[in-house]
Amino acid sequence: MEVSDHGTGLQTAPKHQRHRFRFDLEKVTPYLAIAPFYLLFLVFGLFPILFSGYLALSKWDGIGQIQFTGWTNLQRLAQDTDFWLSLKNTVLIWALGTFPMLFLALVLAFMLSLKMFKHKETLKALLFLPNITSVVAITILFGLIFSNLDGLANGVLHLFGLRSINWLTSPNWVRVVIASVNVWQYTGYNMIIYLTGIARISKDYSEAAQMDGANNRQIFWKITVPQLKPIILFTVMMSTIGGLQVFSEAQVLVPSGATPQGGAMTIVYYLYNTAFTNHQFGYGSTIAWGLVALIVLFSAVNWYVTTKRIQGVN
Amino acid sequence: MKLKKYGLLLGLALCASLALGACGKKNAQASQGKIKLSINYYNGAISKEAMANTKEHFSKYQLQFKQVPSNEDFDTKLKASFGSKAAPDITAINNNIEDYLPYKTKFVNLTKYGTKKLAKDYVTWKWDSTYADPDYQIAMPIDIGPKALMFNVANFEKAGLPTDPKQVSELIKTEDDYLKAAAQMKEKANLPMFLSAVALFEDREQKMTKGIFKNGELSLGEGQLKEAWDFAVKAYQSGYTLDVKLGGADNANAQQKGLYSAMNKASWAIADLEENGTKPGTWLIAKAPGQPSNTGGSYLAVLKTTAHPQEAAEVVRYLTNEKNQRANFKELSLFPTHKAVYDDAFMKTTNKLFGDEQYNPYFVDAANAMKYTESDPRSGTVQRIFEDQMQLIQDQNKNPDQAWADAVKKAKTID
Amino acid sequence: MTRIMHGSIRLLVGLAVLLSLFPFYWMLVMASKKNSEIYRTPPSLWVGDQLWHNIQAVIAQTSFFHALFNTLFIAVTSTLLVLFFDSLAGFAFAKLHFRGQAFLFAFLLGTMMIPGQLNIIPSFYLMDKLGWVGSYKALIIPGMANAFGIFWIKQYCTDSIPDSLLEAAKLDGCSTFRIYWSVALPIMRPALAFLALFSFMGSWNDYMWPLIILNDEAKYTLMLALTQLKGIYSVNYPLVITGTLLATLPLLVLFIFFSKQLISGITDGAVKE
Repeated sequence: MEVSDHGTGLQTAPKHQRHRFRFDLEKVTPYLAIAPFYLLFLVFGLFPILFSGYLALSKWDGIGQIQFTGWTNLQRLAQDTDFWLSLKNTVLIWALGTFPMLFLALVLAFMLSLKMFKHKETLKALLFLPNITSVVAITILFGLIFSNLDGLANGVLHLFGLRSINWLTSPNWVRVVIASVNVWQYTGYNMIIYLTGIARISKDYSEAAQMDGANNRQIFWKITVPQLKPIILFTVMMSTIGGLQVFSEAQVLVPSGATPQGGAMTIVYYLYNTAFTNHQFGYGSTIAWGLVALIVLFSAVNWYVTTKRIQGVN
Repeated sequence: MKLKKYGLLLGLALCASLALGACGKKNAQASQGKIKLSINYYNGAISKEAMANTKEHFSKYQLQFKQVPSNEDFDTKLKASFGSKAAPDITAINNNIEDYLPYKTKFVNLTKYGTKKLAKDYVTWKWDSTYADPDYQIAMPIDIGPKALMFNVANFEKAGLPTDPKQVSELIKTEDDYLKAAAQMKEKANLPMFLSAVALFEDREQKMTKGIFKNGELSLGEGQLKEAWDFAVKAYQSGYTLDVKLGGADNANAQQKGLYSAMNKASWAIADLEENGTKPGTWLIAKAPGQPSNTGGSYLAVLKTTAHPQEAAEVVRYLTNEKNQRANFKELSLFPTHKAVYDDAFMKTTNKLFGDEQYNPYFVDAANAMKYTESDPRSGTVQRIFEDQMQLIQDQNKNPDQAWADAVKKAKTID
Repeated sequence: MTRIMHGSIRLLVGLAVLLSLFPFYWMLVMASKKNSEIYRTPPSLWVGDQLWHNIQAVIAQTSFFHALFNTLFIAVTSTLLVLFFDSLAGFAFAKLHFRGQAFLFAFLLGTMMIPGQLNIIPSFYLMDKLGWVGSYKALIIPGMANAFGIFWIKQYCTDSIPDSLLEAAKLDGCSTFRIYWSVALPIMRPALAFLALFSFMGSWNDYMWPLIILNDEAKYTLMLALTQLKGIYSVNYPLVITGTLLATLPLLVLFIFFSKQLISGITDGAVKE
């Protein structure tokens, strides 16, 4: 992954810099600055990861002896249609939620940065509000709103003379409901992230462009989006990582009878069920590592596409 | 300005830590010199009165009851704490005791503390389920969930079925009778008899008298699981089911409005009916059709890591005694496992939800008629595979033969 | 700009605000009813009369205020620590140069990709060996320098702190830490404000880890205390929603109280060169 290539400024001229540091202490400083994370990781993060790596090749019910079984679990994973169906659900939910959400967030951020609004701060705060709720709590509420029989959503459909929808038991709709919990909770959040970025785009740019007769749409695509590149990249990465790990929403909406064919079984839900409900901690870990591989792959692709795409616009 | 803001936050944190420190000290002083026992339980497993009784009875010990969220989370926490110095002395265990029986060494053998002579006091099958082997008892039973038939009075009347519990018990004795009544319900009242294919299947699974595994090999109850499956499929295909999810808002809604007509439910479902806001007299209770069955019921166990096994075992015995089971029943409707509680007054219990009906005999009958079937820790996993396939039949109209074949194939991979 | 354009922008923003707020209103509606009233067809859209009753029930059944206080303590402490450690590391990754930087950063990103659910049991084992089970240390310390925040600060710093400024400070003889503290930190304020919000909320709403770690009810956080509203066999939805509402309320108050500083800090923090 080309993680540091997009950096600018000092990073492009490292050779110059290095000569200027006079004290040894100064050379060590960067390492001291980042040390806490790596130390904490060594102490608290590494052991659980190694442990789950070992479990991925073992059989364990969470209480008794761990039996090393080698590649058996991996073979099982490759043939496990439930895993691949859960993956399909996860990716669909992610795509249904993430793209509209990020685009909407970007558009809203841009609009709120325009001069036309009087109470900007209030509007921003109101749009951010959904993010302060806990996901479990808000999903319970969405579950009530979208319940099959007499929820609010079906009530509204009836009002317009439409037929009820089985929101929580139809594979397609349940994915939409899960994605909508995410969209509701994270649009304002991503908008704020974008606003953080927009605030530091020098006003001269857009004002100059406006003078040149550019309309909002042109400013948005030609100035805002390219300038926000590192931030957009950040949101896409975070949404991918978060989106592929979607779990609580699905579990709270469909606490029992969730099946890979039923649409609500996401990968993390599947791994949770395998490990904690069915007490197969070994195979559960294998699923987790399958997921890690997929997230790495997805993130790399995302990174590549986002970087290329926005450069293209630029 | 900026400094002020950070200062404010820091100050807040400081105050908080000071105050917390103070709390800690107070607790430490109170506990000096007494034997300390901690008891993990989940909401609804032990009544407040039973806890108060126990604290009073054992005033020489310091008892700490700690409420932990229920379900998988509870098991996760319990498993994580095995062998840990932070483990509780006593823990509640839910009705998944078969998961723990293979690990008897993690628990204190209660027979060493004189529990064997108590056997006759408790419901036999529940008592038997606490033994890992004939000389090793890992827990004492708190409650059970024997089942009886709850039926919707208005729907039964509309279908021309009897509405008197005694007559209903007479009419619907077997599973076949149950289906016949469902047919009449559909024909005369055009209403579904059952909540869902899945609910019906789960009910029949609980009535199985043979295990999912036999001598460690997958046996699917020697044909009983297929019988249960076919029964649910037949009801589903004949249109006798409403098909909403068990538990959750839709079920509550359906109970309230009488969108379906009968359910074979455990004693604690009475509390559900109340919570779900059904009106008095809309549902009544009759004897369960077919085999007696049970859902739910907790235990109390002493963990091997305790420093005071003798004292902990005493507390467990006391917490599960007649007096405290009465308190549990009164406060939480937990159905007792101590047979002395099943006296005249208990049998005559009424609830304003059912008018003057004395319904407890139906539950007691089921409790006494049940037999213990040994259960493999993998049973739950296998049953869920079949339930998931039934869910697909219910939600997506999957072909039942295909669903059965898929489930069997997957069940065979569980080892 | 044309009027139509203005109009449609207002409409879209207005609609977004409405959708953001509606679930809060619906929470209030649900919290103000009896369990038996929430399934009515058609659903009643107005606030009912049970709110006060439900609030009292929640407070009686949970150790609400105690848990509120515990949660506040954990959230404030961890947020302050996160701000410091993440901004320092993020700054170093964005503006300093050292061998192995690219690898170390890729590694950091990699750690975010591992789903946390399975770490619960080994992590507990670790905490047990350290003797931290039941202690807030286990909730605060492992997360006090986290990949998310470092990544975020790095992305923000890369473009928003002018290199010329750092060069100048360096020529004045400032140490790197001094440059971070006096030059970079003030410029990062908007990013810090967002990180503070994020990390505060994260620790406020955390559930699984506190559940596994905390043993003493006196130390329970709000999210744990709320589970006392659920029985083994049934759920009283209005009560659960009321509990949620009450748990969200302090966040709401805090948010409104700080939103002026936070949001305007976040969004007006343009760099003055």
